[in-house]
Amino acid sequence: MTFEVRNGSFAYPTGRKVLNDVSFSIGENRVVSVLGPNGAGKTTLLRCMLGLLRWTSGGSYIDGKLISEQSHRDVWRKVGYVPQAKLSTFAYTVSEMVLLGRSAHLKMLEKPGSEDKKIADRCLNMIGVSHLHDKLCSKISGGELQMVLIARALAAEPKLLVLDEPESNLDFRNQLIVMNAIRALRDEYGISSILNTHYPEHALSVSDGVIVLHREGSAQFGSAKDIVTEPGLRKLFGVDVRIRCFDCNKCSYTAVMPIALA
Amino acid sequence: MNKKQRIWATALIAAPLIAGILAIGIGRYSISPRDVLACLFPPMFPNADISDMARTVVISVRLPRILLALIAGAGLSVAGASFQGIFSNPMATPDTLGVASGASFGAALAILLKMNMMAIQFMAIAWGVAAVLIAMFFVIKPGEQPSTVMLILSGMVVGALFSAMLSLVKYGADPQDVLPAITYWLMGSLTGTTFERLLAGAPLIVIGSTALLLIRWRLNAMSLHEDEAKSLGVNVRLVRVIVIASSTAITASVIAMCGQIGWVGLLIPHVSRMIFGNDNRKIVPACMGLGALFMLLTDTVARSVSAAEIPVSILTAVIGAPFFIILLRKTGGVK
Repeated sequence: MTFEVRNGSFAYPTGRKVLNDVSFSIGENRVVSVLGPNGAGKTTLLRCMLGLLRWTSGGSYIDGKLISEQSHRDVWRKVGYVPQAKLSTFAYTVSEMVLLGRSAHLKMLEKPGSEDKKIADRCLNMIGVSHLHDKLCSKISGGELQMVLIARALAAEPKLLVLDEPESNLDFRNQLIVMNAIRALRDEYGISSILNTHYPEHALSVSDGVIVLHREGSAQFGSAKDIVTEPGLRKLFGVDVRIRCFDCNKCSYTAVMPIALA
Repeated sequence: MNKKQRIWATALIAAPLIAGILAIGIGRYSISPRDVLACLFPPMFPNADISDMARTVVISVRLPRILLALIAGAGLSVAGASFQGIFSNPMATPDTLGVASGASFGAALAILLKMNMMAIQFMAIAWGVAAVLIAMFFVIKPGEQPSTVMLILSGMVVGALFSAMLSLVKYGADPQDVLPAITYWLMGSLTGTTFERLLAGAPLIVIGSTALLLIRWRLNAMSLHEDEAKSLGVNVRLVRVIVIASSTAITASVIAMCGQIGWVGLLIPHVSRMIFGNDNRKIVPACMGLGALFMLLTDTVARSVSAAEIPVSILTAVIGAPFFIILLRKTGGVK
């Protein structure tokens, strides 16, 4: 499956332009990160490309077909959305929550059956949180809730996950767990991901491509190595950074260190 | 369904039916459960000797009233639970969009104009529905989805507007006979329920409750943030319209037949949540059983503890509040 945005622009009804002529495409087995300063429109980009917000001009395409011309259920069986982990008003158990991921496969009056439950359990397993099965979502940690929401998105059996800042508000360990999961989904199951992130390091470590959103609304799409550079980040965030590579346990890692305001 | 759930399900269906048969026998003219059954199912009791008086009391006086109590309680509770779901707000009641204020205004206006019972019932339904349509009209903009907060606010404004209009009707009513009639009607009562009135109002309650029962799993997704619900592939707009239409039909019909009955639509959903958790697949049927049972209990007390009837809305609070608090302490509240 190929997901594409062609010449997408978005402006609020008040006239303020947020996104200007954004184009990119993501194929199978890919991870793409969206980088940009606060207020550059990262969340707006995700919402627009998924059809949750209407592009002012341009559009999103799945395999060359405009998603606004496809039925909701068709689109949401191919694309899974993982929102930032926030508690819902009513606390559901983890298994009830993940089962909701089957919605796109069921008709309006249908209720999930034993097959759906099996799929939901498998998704919890895939992401390594099946021990939470009967816990209430309000009684687990933020990191665990984020993993549950990823499992819920997977329950729709999508080809592409879209994640809104999946590792923000998480501690070091949970950040690693989430990033490893995104990588594993690509490598083991061929599921692509698009994620918003505040961490250039994460963009470098997991992604094949990076979309950079500048504050004035323009966007740039390219490989992580070409875009996440010292001059690039200085221009993007207005911060002097140093990027250093080092080896550890026969793997190479890249550290991005902010030094001073530019 | 595991064994425990099956027992609960059976209990929730059986309890209102058994309680209903017992309640028919209770009252100033007391009838044994055996005689009640003999009146209801004559072929099963060929030897029973039932007086005409008893038969009339059972069939034409108490049966329609008890049926109304059962479906009204079930309907209000389900409507409340569904509104809590789609507005993702635990404080939502069936009246959140102003249907009760509208219906009360309609009924008061009909009483002021000295219309008959059927016309009062019709006016209450019509104005209840009108209030919700006005509340929705305020927030609908072409091509945009109204936020639930705007919808709730709009409902409150419309509710306030109709309450004011109700006051105006009361102010203009003759304090000798019309004003007491309006006031008494507003306090709620199931007195004088006939099969004719039941046939005019009950179908809307039954249809609405059935629709909510069928769509109940979708309420889980609806109670999440709107983007989340949409991204699960749920047609948010359609589910919202179905739920609002069903709940409005239920609540307007109940108020049209019984007057204003507060509390049930807030209390019973939360009682169900405390016992069964938040999954609407369990909450909605549980609300039906518990709501029917609670309303039957309230109405039976209302008509049997004193010579004069006690208005139901007083009893729903008097019986409901302590019951709620005991449950709150026992279960540790809604999870």
